Amino acid sequence: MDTVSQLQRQFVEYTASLYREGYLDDQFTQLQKLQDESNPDFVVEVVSLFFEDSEKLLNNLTTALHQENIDYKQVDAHVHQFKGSSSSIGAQRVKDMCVVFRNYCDEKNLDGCVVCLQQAKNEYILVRNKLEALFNLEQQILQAGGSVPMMV
Amino acid sequence: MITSRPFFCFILLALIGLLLSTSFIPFGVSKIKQVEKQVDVITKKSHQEIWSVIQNAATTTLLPMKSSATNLAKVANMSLTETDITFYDIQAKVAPLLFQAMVTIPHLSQISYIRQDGLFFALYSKDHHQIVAIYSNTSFSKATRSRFHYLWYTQPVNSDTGKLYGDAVVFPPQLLINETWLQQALNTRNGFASLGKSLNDVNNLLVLNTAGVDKNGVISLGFELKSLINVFSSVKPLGGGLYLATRDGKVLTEGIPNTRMVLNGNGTFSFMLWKADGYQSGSITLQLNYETPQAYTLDIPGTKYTLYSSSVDIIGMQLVYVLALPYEGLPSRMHKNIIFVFALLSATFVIVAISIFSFVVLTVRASRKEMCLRAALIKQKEATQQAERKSKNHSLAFVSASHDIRASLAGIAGLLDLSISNVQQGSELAVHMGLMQKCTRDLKSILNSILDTSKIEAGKMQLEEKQFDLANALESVVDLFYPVGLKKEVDVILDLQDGSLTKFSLVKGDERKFKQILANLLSNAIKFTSEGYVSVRAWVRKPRLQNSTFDSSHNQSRRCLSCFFSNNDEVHGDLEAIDEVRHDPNFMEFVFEVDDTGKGIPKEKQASIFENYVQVKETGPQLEGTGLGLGIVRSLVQLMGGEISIVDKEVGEKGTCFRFNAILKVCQSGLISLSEDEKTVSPGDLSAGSNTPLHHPRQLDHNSSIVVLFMTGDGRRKMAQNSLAAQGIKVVAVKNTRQLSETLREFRREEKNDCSSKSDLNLSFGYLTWPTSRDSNTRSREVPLSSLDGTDMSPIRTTNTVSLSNFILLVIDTTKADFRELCRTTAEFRKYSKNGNSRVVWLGSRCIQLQGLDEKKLPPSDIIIPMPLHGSRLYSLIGLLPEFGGKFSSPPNQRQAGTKEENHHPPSRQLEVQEIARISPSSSSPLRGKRVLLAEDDAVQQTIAKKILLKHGVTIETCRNGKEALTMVSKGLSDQRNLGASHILPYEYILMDYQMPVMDGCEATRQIRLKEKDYGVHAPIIGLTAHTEGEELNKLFVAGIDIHVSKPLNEQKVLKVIEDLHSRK
Repeated sequence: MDTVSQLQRQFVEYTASLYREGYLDDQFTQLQKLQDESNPDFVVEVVSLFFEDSEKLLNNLTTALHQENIDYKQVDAHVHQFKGSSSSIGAQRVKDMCVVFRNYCDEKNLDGCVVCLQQAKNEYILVRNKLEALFNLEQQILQAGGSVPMMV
Repeated sequence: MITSRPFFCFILLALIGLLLSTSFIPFGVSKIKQVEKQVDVITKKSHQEIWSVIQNAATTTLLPMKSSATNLAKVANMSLTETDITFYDIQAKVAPLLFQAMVTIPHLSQISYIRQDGLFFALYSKDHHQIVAIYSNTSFSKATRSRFHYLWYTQPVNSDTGKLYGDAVVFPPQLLINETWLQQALNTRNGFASLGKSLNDVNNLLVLNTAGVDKNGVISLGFELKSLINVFSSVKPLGGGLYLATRDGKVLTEGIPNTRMVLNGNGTFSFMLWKADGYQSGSITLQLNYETPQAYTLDIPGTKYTLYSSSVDIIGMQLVYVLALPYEGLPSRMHKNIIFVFALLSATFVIVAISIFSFVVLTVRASRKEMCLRAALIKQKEATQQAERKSKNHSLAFVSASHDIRASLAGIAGLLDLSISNVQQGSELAVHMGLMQKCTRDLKSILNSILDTSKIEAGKMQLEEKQFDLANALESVVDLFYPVGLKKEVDVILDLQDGSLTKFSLVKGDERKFKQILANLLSNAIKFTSEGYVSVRAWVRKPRLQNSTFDSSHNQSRRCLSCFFSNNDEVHGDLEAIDEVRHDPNFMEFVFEVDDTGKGIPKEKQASIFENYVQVKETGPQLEGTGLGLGIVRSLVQLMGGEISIVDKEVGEKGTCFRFNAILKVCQSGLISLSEDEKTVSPGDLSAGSNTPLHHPRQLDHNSSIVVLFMTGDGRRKMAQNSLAAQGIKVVAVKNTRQLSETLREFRREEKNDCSSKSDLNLSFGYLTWPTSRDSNTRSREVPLSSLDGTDMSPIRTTNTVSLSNFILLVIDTTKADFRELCRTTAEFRKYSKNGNSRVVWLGSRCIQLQGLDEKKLPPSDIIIPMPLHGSRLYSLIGLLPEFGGKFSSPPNQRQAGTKEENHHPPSRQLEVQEIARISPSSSSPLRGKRVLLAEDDAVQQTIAKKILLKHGVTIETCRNGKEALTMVSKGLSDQRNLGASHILPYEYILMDYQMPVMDGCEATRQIRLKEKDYGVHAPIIGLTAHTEGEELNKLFVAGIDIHVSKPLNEQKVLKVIEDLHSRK
C-alpha cells in the first residue's frame, strides 16, 4: 500500500518535472490519452518506435555529416523526419534542437550542423533516459498492484 | 341575550309610537265633534234663513198687493157718481181705470168690474202680451125685457191705448153674481181675498182680491197663483220641499216627491206617502200648529225631514205653508264620513301593529337561529383547533417514534447482514434470513413513506432549492421504471409533447422530491396497469394567474405549505408569495401527466384518492402499500406550488390520468417566450444559451427527410410520431412488418420516378455519400444477415443516383417483432434504396445480442439505440436527419459537439451520447466506418495517426510514400468503376504527408487530382505538415489539398479538421 502510493507520488512528481523542464510537452499527454484497454502499451510502443527511429536517423546524420560532399538536402530530410517524430511524441527539447539544426542546414553551416547534431544526440539520450526511467517507474507501480496515475 | 336587548328596545319604540298615535285619537275626536256642532249650527241657521226668506218674500213682495183692490175700488167709486150706471159709464170711466191697473200692477193677470145687475167688464192678459176685454153690455133685467139673451163678448184691447178694437166675439157668460167671494166682497169694505178661476181658462187658478166699489159692484183683481208661488220657489231648498195650502185645506204645491200633504181642519197636517207607482203606502199625521211658526221632524222612510210650518198672508188670503228640509243633510253625511275615516285609521293601526309584531317575531326567531349557529361555529372551531393540536402533537410524536423505529430497524438490518455472512450459504436459515432482509427493506420503505407523511403533516418538510435539469430528471425516472413496466409488458413512455420542456429544462427546485412525486405516480400507474402503456407527458406553459383555488379541504395542506415556505405562520403572506411567483416571468409552469391504461379509478372514489391511508379497495388483495402514496404526492406537489388532479378521460378510454403542475424558476438568462423561441434559435447554435437539443430544419420545404417508424407499441409509436411531427419532420408510422414492407416498397417506387429527373446531382455529392463499407462485403460471406444485404451485387446501384429529396430514416423497434423478418425487410429496402440516402436505426433493449441483433453484423452506418426511445434518445435520433444539423452521412455530429462544448451541454445529452458511444463505441464519431488512406513515411507518426483513426472506427490503409498512395487511389478508383460505382470514393479521406521519400505529398496530390478527373470524383485530401503557413503549405494547396493539419497529430486536431472540412462545404 505504502510503496504504491509512494511510487505513485514519485511518478507524479517525476512526470511533472519532465514537463516543467521542457523535456516533454502536451503531445505526450495526448499520446497517453490514446492509450486504452485495447492497447495498454501504446505509449511504450510508440516511444520505442521513436527510439529506434531516432537512433537510425542519428546514425544516418552522423554518417552524412562525415562525408566529403555533404548532401545538405539529405541531411535536412533526416532532420525534418527527426523533428517530425520527436514532435509527435512530445519530446520538446529534441524538437527544438531539430529546428535549430534545420536552420544550420539551410545555411549549409557544417560546424553548426555538427554541434547541433551533438546536442540533438545529447538531448535525445537525455529524453530517452528520462522516458525509460518513467516507464520503469510505471512498471514498478503496476507490479506493486497500483494504477498509473493520469497526468492531466 | 345580546340580541334580545335591541329587540326589546325595538318593541318599546314600537309601543311608544302606537301609544302616541292613539293619544291623538281623543283629541281628534273632540275636534271633530266641535266641527260637527258648528256644522249643526250652520245648518240650523241656514234653515232659519230659508224660512225667513220665505216669510220675507210673503210679506215684502206680496203685502203691497193686498190693498191694491181696495184702493182701486175707492178710485172707481169716486168716478162713478151716478146711481144708475150704464155700460157706457163703465166703458168711459171704469175701463181706463182697469186698463191702468192691469198694466201697472205686477203679477196681475185679470181685472174685472162686476155689477150685481149683470154689467160686467173685465180685462185679462192673454199670454202676457195681448190684453183681451170681456164685457157684458146688458144687465139681466134689460136682457129679459128685450128678450135678448144675456151675452158676454170678448174684444182685444190695444195695449197702448186701452181702447177696444176689432170685432166683439160672443163669450159664454158665467154667473158670477152668485159666487160667494162676490157676495162677501160686496159686504165688506176692505176687500176680500179668495181663490178663483180664471175667466178664460178654468184650470188657471187665480187669487182674486175683490173689493166692493159700491153696493152693486165690485172690482176684482186676479193674480195668477203660479206666478205668486214662483216667488217662493226661488227658496226651494236642496233635498227638501215646500207645501202650500189654503186654510180651508186646498193644497197648492207639493214638496217632497211621492208625498202629499193633507191639511185637517183643526190645525193638523197629515202626510200621505205614495209609492213610486202611485199607490198609497201609508200616512203620517202630525199635530202641527201653523198659527205660530214651529219646527217638527218628519220621518219619511229613507230620510228624516225637519218641517217648519207657518201661515202667511198672500194678498189678503191666508195660506199655510210647510217647509220640509232634510234633517240629515250635511252634518249626518259628515258624520258618516268621519266614522269611515276613523274606521280606516283604526284598520291602519291594526295592520301596523300586526306587521310590527310579526316583524319582531321573525327577527327574534332569526337572531335566535343565528345565535345558535354562532355558538355551533365557535364550538366547532374549538373542536377543530383541538383536533389540529392533537393531530400535530400526534404527528410530532409519530416523527420521533418513527425515528426510533428506524434506528431499531437499522439495527436489525445490520445484525441480519452480519448473521447472513456467518451462516452457511444455501442453508434454510440463510434463505429465511434473506427473506427477513427483504422484509426489513419493505418495512423500511413503508416507514419512510409514513415518515414523509408525518413530516409533511408536522410541517417539517423543507424544499431544497437547487439547480437541476428537469428533462434529465424526468427521463431518468421514466427510464428507471421502464424495466419495471417491461416485466409486466407495460410500456413506459416519456412524451415531451412539443419539446417545450427541453427549452426550459434547467430549473431550480427540489429534484429529489420531484423524482419522488413522479416515481410514486409512475409506480402506481404501472402497478394498476396490466396491459397497454403508461405515458408520462410534460410540457411548459406560462403560469396562469389564479390557477389554483384553495377549497376548504386544502386547508390543512395550505397550513403545511405555509410551514414550508417560511417558518412563520402567516398563511396570507405565503399565499401572496405564491401569487408573486406566478407573476414573475422567470417562473414557468410545468405540467406533467401520468397517463395509464389500467382499470382506472371510479368517479366516486376520485375525490378521496388523495387522502391519506385511502386505497381503492376493489383493485385486489395482491396489491400492497400503505395508501399513503398519493397523499404524500399531493402534499409534495402543493409544496412546489402546484396542484394535482385526476384528469377526466374521454369516454371509452381506459385508465387514469393524473395531472400535476409545479411552478419552478427557470435558470436561464435569455428567457424567451415559447413561440418566439422557435424562431430565434439559429440552426448552428446548438448549445449556446438555450438547452434546445435540436438544430432547426435548414431547408424544411425542400429536401425534407422521412422517418419511417416501425413500432409495435401503440402508445410509444404515437408519441414518437407526434414528437417528430412537432419538429416538422415527415413521419410514417407503421404497426407491423407487413405494413413496413409495403411502405418501403412504396418509397422505392417513388424514388424510381425521381431518379429519371435528378440524375446529375450525384457528382457534386459524391464525396459526401455514405458508401457501404468494404469490410461488410468481406464479412458478408460468413454472416447470413449481411448476405441478405446484397450491397455489392445490386443492379440498381449501377444506375442509381443520389437525390437528397428524401432522406429516409428507418427506425425499427426490435423488441417485439420477429427479428428475422425485420432483417429481411430491411435488407430488401437497403438493396433497392440509393446509397447513403437512408439510414437504419435499430431500437433494442439493452441486451440486444439476445435478439440476434449484433452490431458487428450490421452495416456500419446503422445505429443501435437502446429502448426506451423517448426524451433525449428521440432527440438524438432527430439529430441524425440532415436538416437537423446531422451532416449528411457524417451522422452523429453530437460527438463533436459533445466533446467540444461539453460544459454548456445539458448533462442529459452528454450522458446520452456517452451511452450510445458505450454500446457501439465509435458510432458517434464522424469518422466511424470511413475508409481513410494514410500516406506517412515516419513510423512513429504513422503509428500515432493510425491509433487515433482506429479509435474512431476508421478503416485505415497506409502507405509510406506518395507513389504508393497514388497507386492505391488509382486502383481503388478503377475497382469502383469495374463495380459500376465510379462515383463512390475508394477513400473518404486521404491524409497526405508533405515530405515523403520517392514522391512527396505535393506531387502525389497533384497526380491523384489528375486521376480523379477521369472518374469525375473528388476525394478530400488532408495535407499534413509541420507548418501552419508558408511556402510548403501553399504548394500543397496549389497541388489540390482541401485542408491541412499541422503536425504533430492528435485526436482533437483530426476531429477538428473533419468538422472544418464539412462545415466548409
